[in-house]
Parts: sequence; C-alpha cells; structure tokens
Amino acid sequence: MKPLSGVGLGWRRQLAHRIDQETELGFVEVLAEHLNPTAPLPAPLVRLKERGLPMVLHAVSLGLGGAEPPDPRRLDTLARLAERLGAVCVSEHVAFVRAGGIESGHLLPVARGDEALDLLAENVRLAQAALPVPLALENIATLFEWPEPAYTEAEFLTGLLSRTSTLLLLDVANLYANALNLGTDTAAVLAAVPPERLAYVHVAGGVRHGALYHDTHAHPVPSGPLDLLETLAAQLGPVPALLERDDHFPSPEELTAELRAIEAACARGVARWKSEVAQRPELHAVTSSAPEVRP
Amino acid sequence: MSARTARERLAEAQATLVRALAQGAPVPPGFDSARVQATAETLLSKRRRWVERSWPRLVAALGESFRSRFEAWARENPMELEASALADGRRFADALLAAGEFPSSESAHEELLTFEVRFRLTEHGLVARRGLTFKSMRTGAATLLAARLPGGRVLRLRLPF
Repeated sequence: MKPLSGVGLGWRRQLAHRIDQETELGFVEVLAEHLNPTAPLPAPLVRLKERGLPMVLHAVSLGLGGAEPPDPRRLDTLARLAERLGAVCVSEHVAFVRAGGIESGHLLPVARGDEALDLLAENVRLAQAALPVPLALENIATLFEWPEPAYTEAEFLTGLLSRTSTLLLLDVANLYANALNLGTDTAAVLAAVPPERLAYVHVAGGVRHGALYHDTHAHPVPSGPLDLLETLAAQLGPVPALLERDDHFPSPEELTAELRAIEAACARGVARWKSEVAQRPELHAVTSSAPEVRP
Repeated sequence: MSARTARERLAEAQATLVRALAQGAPVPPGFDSARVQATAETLLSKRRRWVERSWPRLVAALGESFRSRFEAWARENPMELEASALADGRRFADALLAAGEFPSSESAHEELLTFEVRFRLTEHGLVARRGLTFKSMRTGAATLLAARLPGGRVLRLRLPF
C-alpha cells in the first residue's frame, strides 16, 4: 500500500470545512457507512481527492469476526467506494457486529481462541479477495471479554497477522481503554506490531464513568493514548497517526491543539528511536521499513 | 471438525451474547455479567442518541417521555436488518401510531411525512425513493402535503383544514 504519513483527521461533515482549509494534514479517513453508495461523493471529498490528499475508507459493519462469511453486497459496496475515493486502503475491525438476525449497532469482541481466529482469518481472506486495495484491521475497545481466552490480545493479534496478510490499524485509544478496563498488557501489544504491517494509528478521546473508561470519540484525548503513541514511535520510528472525533466537536483551536499533541507525541517517540538507533546501529536494519514522515 | 460446524458453533455463541446485549436475555455463563450489562446500556443509549439525531422533531414532541418509551420499545424490538437510525426511528414511530400514541404535534407529523416521501421501509431495509412521490397526512387541525421531486428536493404544503 502507498504509505501514509504525518497526522491525519477523521473526515466528518461537521469538520469538512476545517479539513478543506487545513494544509498540514497527512491523510484523512472517510466513514463508509456515512456515504450513500449510489449518490455522487460529497463535494468536499471530491476536492480532497483532487488535492491528492491520501484517503482511507473506514468501515464498521462488515463484522469480519462474525460467524458468517462477509456479505458480498457489503464488500461490493466497499470496493466501489474505495475505487471512487481512490482510497489507499480499506480499514475494518477485529469484531463482530451482528448475530442471530440482530444488528448490535456496536463493535463486539471476538473470542480469543483458535477456532474464532481461524474463522476470522478465513473471513479476512474473503474480504481481501473482494477489495481493490489492501485491508487494515483495527483492535477494538471492549468492556468485557469472552470467558477463558486462550490468547492474550497481543498473541491474538500476532496470530491474525501470521495467518493472514492483513495490515494493522493500531488504535492506541482502544488499547488504553482495554488496559484500564480489562488489564490488557499494552507493552506486549505494542511489541507485537511489525513495522511493515502497520498501516496507521488511531487516536481518540474518551471519558471515565465510575470505574469504567469509555472510548467515546467525543471527549478530549487524555495523555494515556498519546503516551502509547510515543512508545510505539520510539520502537518503530515515524508512524502515521489519525485523530478520530465523532461528536461534541471542539473549537478550531482545541482541535488544532489535539492534532499538534499527536504530532508532538510522535516526535518525542521518534527522537527516542533515533537516539536508540544511533547507539545501536544494528537496530536500523529492523526499523528502517517504517514509513517516512513528510518533510 | 469441519469449518461449517465451527461457523455454526460460533453463530450460536454470538447470537446468545447478542440477545443478552440487545434484548436483556440472560448473560451466557462465564461472562462478566456486570460488564455485559454495562455494554448493553451503552448499546441502548447509542441507539437512542442516533434516533434523537435522525428524528429530532418526533423526539422533541415526545419530550421527557421519549427516553423511557424508546428504550422500552427498543428492548422488545432489536435492529434486525440494518443499524440505521432512520429506519429504527421509523419503526418506533410505527409502534406509536399503532398504539395511538404518536404525538399530535404538526412538526412531528411533518418529519414523518418527509421521511415517507424520501424513503420506504421494505423487508430488505430502508430504500431511498426515486422519481416523483406525493404523500399527505391529516393532523388535528390541518392536512400536510409533501412531494419528492426527481433529483431529491422535497416540497411541503400545509392546508389549514
């Protein structure tokens, strides 16, 4: 896939004007379910496409972790939208969204065992075969897990990456949420990210209600996800990172501050990575495949 | 073990979990019941907020009773075809109409009428209408007319009788 770089922002109608004016964005992500597949693309997206700003098509309703193979009609819609947008890749989630004829309207966790992993891998291969561009899969946030998981989250991701050729969309906000709510080992997950398989990173805000942290995309980004982003960049070098904001849109100044905070976290990580590489040149061979940041 | 059997087993396990999340069925054994219930609440409030956005006038006309009415209805009526707030709200409106509880507000009727000229609910889900469509609706004091023109523009007219 054509590598992404810099800091990105999730395209939303409420942010369309802002994104139109923005000259420093490295890429945007467009929500597939918000586009009418039979209507012309919204004019602001056509302008972004003409500007040559790299776009990712992000989907939430394939349900690749579900028991059914992915619906060919949904795949066909995604494939057409990806082509019309000129998307560099399509991203989806390690999740199921429907079962027993019921749409949950939510991303639900898959059981972390071999049987579910094999079916997920099969569904991923079916989706890849139907899409004109690479597929990247995202780790989700969940408040609960399936009983007695055979694998940790890190092991499960490694298993998915070894069984398929999918790319990874690492959501550090989801990882942060799972660490708080489920005790997920963030260091193990970050260590499981192969640089050549990382498409990009998601960053988002959330809020704590009682004992639980909710990944809302409607609140400011706390320092936790940014710290994880910094650690990842310290391991891999420059990583493209995108802010997702879905609701309670902040003022332009606040939004700029969040984008700059993401950039700064990446830069801190890259500085650590560079000093590490300088001290241990043998690392360079491993890390040099990370995508380059735009000058 | 054939792949088909594995898919069937997974389908059953996931369906049991989704029924617990969407309909308040018992939480399957082994799961953290409090966390599954917390997720069920998140799902329900998300679904309610989507409908609040897609059907603002109906929601305003129902006022404070909207939340409890919608949530009670939603638990009995999970989303079956697609996770669409427009379709979900339309089905909720149908339930209100059938129970004679649709608010008398002209604004809410107008919203429903606008939906009706733009979309129809089918057994496959929500379908956008094409071409020219006319609809009318009687409220207490007026007759509301709406037309969807080819190209998608909607014209509305209120007759005060």
